[in-house]
Amino acid sequence: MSTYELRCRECGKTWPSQPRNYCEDCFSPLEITYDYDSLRKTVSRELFASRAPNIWRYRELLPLPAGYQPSLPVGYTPLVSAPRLGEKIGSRRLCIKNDAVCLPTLSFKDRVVAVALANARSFGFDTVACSSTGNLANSVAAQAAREGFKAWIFIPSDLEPAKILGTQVFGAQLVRINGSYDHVNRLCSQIADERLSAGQGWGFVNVNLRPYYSEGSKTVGYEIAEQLGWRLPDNVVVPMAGGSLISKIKKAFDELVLLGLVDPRPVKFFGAQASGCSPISTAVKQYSTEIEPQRPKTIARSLAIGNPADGPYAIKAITKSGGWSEDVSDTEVVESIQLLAESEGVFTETAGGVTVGVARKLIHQDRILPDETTVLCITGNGLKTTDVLADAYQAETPIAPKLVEFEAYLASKVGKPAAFAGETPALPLARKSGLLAAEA
Amino acid sequence: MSITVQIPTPFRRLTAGTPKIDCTASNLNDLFAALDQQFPDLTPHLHDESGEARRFLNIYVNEEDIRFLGGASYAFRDGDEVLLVPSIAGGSNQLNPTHRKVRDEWGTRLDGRDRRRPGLCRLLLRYCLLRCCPLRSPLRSEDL
Repeated sequence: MSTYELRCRECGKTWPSQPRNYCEDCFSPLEITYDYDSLRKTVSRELFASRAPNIWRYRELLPLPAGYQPSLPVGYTPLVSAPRLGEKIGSRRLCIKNDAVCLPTLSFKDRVVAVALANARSFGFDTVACSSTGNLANSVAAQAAREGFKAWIFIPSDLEPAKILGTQVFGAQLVRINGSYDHVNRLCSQIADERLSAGQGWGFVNVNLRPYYSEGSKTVGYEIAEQLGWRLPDNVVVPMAGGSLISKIKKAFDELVLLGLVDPRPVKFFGAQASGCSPISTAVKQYSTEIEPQRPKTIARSLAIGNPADGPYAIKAITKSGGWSEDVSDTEVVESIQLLAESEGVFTETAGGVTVGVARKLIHQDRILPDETTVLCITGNGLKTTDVLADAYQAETPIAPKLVEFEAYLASKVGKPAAFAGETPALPLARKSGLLAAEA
Repeated sequence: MSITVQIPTPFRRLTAGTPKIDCTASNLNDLFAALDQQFPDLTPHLHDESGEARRFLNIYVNEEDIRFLGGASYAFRDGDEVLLVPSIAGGSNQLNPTHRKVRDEWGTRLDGRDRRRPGLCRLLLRYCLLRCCPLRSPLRSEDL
């Protein structure tokens, strides 16, 4: 375990480890800093590589209470090359960081919750809570059950049914709020506030435990570097909701360089949003450093945060790296989900569709070049958002179990290249939308 | 006419613990003036010198973000409940939004335009310049 403390991101004031997310003086957010000088002597590539494949292998670089014994193998998801997707969207060195199979609840949120709950116990909380667009709800509910916490989960009422069920099944207390995520989030900061003043504190993973929670996101960055053979990629494409993940992957890369574990290399950060909720990408495209809040209207509900808390830091990470941010329409999100599934066998949720769609756009704009190593962060599983594909496929008429029936069926399908000639249905759609015009 | 203003815990240190005030402000500027007078320590956290609300301060009127209601031009109605919530995001307020950076400190264009491959004209121009430039090679073949 390492030495760490809380530090104000604006005025630099420091605090010992405690459940607190803002600076008393300037009301700016806090983040964790470590004693990098002593870490440089203790950590090495070999040390990390000798441990079990999960996020705890990087335990020196995470804020964990002394003697903490993790009980769940979270993270260390596959980083796979994606040659077929790359061929279709125009990249020769494309990789997918597949957090659609992150344990225990199939999204990257398992990483952040694991680190937050590790601290919740040592701070003396017996109840944990969160405001969520779905994936965080699933993860807090599951890990709270596993670790023996009571869980209170606050969600917007219009969430996908699979994400609601996937929270209730773990026995968590679910509170549905009539309003958007931003309303839920505001309510939660009020509740955290009131309960704290009443002396019955709850550990809100993304309010008072936020500095610990967001450190969990760094493990995506460590894993990408390690899985590339302790090398940094040229480009990373990251979906953005609150804007925390992209700035934490940057922090992870910076730390690895600082500790001498990877060679310094300019990494460009690209942020992906859905057009129906794009406060961060809009700001980047207007060369602005400020977020103009939006009212979300998109099928990518896990990214539907109109007033992103870490928006300014996401903008900074993107523009300072020479990266860019783009957004895609709901139609493109669905097409991109299909494109990824048909070319790489990875079924992602709407946020992943946003990432793939934006990557395709950025390659088309020459912002990402074909021979650069590009990593797409796929952060959630498609089985949680199947409702968006409801209209994409028709139920086939069943046939009798007779060879003659199958012959007739086969004959009826000949001449339909989509199913039999190996051409994917997503491509004509993509051509129609003008994205693959150069290829056509 | 009267409105209620709720003060969140982080700010109460600057309001001597007052959690809530009633006032008769008719719009946001009036409200800031009233709060400035009553709690001068709070002023720098609410607005800048020109009276513009701090970007990291979220102001809600009856559950709705005031920016969606017209911001400073919104006229409060009797019984409105105003809630101040520091967004705890910070960072952007110190930067001047009118100054749009085109290049970062290493000279890379932030809009990525320098990443485009040079066109044919530019390549020809570069080639000609390199060929013609006497500085390129002080020793020429005819000198030998």
